Amino acid sequence: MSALPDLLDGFRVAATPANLGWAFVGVTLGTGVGVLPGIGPAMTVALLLPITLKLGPISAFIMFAGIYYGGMYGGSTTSILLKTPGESASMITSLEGNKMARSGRAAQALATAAIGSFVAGTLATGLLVFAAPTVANWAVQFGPAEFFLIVLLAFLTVSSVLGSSRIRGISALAVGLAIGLIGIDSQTGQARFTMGIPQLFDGADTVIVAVGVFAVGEALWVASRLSKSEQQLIPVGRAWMSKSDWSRSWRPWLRGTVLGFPFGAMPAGGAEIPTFLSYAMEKRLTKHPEEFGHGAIEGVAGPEAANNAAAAGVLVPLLTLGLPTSSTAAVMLAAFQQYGLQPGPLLFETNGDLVWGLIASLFIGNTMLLVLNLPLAPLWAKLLRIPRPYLYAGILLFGALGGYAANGSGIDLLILFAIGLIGLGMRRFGFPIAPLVIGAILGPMCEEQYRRALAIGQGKHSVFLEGPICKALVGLLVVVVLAPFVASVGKRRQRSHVQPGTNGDTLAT
Amino acid sequence: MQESSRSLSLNIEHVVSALMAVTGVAIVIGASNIRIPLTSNIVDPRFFPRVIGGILCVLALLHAVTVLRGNHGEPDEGEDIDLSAPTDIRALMAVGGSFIAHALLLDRIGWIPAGTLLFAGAALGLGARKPVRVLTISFILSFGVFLLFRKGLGVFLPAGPLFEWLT
Repeated sequence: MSALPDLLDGFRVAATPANLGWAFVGVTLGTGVGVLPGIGPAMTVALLLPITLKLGPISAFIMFAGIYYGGMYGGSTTSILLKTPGESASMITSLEGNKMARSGRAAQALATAAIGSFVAGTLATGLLVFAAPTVANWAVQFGPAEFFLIVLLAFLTVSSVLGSSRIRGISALAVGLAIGLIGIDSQTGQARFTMGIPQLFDGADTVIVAVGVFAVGEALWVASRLSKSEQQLIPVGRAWMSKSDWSRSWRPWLRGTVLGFPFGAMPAGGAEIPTFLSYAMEKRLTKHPEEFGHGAIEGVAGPEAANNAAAAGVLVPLLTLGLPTSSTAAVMLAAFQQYGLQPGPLLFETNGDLVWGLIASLFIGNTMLLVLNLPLAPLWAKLLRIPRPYLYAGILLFGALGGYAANGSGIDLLILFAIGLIGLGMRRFGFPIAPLVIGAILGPMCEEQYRRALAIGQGKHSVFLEGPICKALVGLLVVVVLAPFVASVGKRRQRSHVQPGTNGDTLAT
Repeated sequence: MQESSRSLSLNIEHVVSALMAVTGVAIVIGASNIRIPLTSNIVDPRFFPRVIGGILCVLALLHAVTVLRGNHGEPDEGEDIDLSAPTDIRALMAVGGSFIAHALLLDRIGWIPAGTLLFAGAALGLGARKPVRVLTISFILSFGVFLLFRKGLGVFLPAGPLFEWLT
């Protein structure tokens, strides 16, 4: 229970008029940018980074908390009204929510998403308050070997559990790791792959990597295949729900929260799996199975709650271990690093006011979002009408701004463009983006911990098997590596009985 | 489609495999040029690049085989994306060209002209009509961003010779 006084201190930090103002700016901008089609939460945070550049760290992170949750809210609005999931975690929302909207129940879909996000976000942030210090206390005992294994576990799950192709996922990760190699080696001070460009001595800036693959990559991809057909927009009024909508929504909200938080909090998490699980669960438990696939409110309420709960859960490994498990979290980590802060077990002691201020403003931001979004839904929906040429030109302009503002050098813009080209190729050839971003950001940490672990172990790899935590992590790694093979062998056996010759190489999740 | 993917034919995706392999080899070779200081730890700074380069080469091979066996990467979908359309090279060149021009000119001509160029070039490349309107919007937007960030938020953006008087 020792977390409560800390949280109160956090509220004292976050509830000053100035910081409330920043939180408000954050949620408004986050929703406004997040609602734009094609812009997911990760891109929202990346594009809005330059705004916080000159703020003090505490105000900046309070604003970030708002942007983070605001981007999620905005994303769900877009998914419902336009069926454009900005990220895979809101795919389900877009599936069922868009069907609801098309059958004239847009207001109810928006309401259950907004209220569900609020309920799940608040409960899950509450869980974060207690989980984070516990994990941090535990993680203080971790040595380099444990950290290395955890990073490895995150790498493997992020790149091979998600997405339809493991080869492409792991390739994206490897390209990210290669980008992460660039710069001065932290252990020996030697330049690596800097090609003599001084701007690369500090490594490829994480902001540039994120803005490059997300913003520039997306704009180029859309440019290459821009749809000429007119967008169908669904007219929407004020978001509201009837009594029966409430009674059909509240259980899915709670179940979604229970599913979402732990999945997000695991160092192997991410928000996709719990949203799928929540959808499957609601489909089985509903009294209206015939509505599923045609716009069932449970199918929006549950996954949307799971998505938001997972977003709060993701902050557990991010804050306590410095381990981002979603691309949005990776961009947040970049933001921390911009202020010279390294999230990890010690952050709670060295920068307690900042962390607790951040958590407190998650509560504040969440409440602001609910108040802001229920009545303003029609206003946000207007943003969806922005003509596409202007939208993507704007994304490029703000991407360029973010890339330049980070270090004030024109060469960074060329690097940004090169990374954008990689992002274009990845979209064209079906490579997932998140593993690249996470590989680029965590690669240096992975290497550093490995080398430190081996230095401690005097060159012997047995150091990775010392202690119970290491053994458990190695066990988990083996399971993660072997599980897909076991599953695919089982599938193939089944399939060879039923219908031989079907394409068995696609290893689905 | 089904037929051509069954027969073991080369595919544009193999260019991707080749690029991955070239990158992997380049990293492995480049690793040998990293200096190892005398005080180096047990694991030297060449080790990780070599591992990653090697992994990339293996993945390039696996990717090539995966594609040969008919498992093609699915292009990213989206409401603004028309997957049935061929790649629009002109739009891509216009958008990419505007960005590169922006990158090269920004430090010389300043944010406002370079931003106008980027936004207008990209919007027109993406099919916006009414060039005068596009240019006006581009200028106002770049101007506003400059004022907000340089003046309001204190983020450095170059003013350039034309707008030196603003600073």
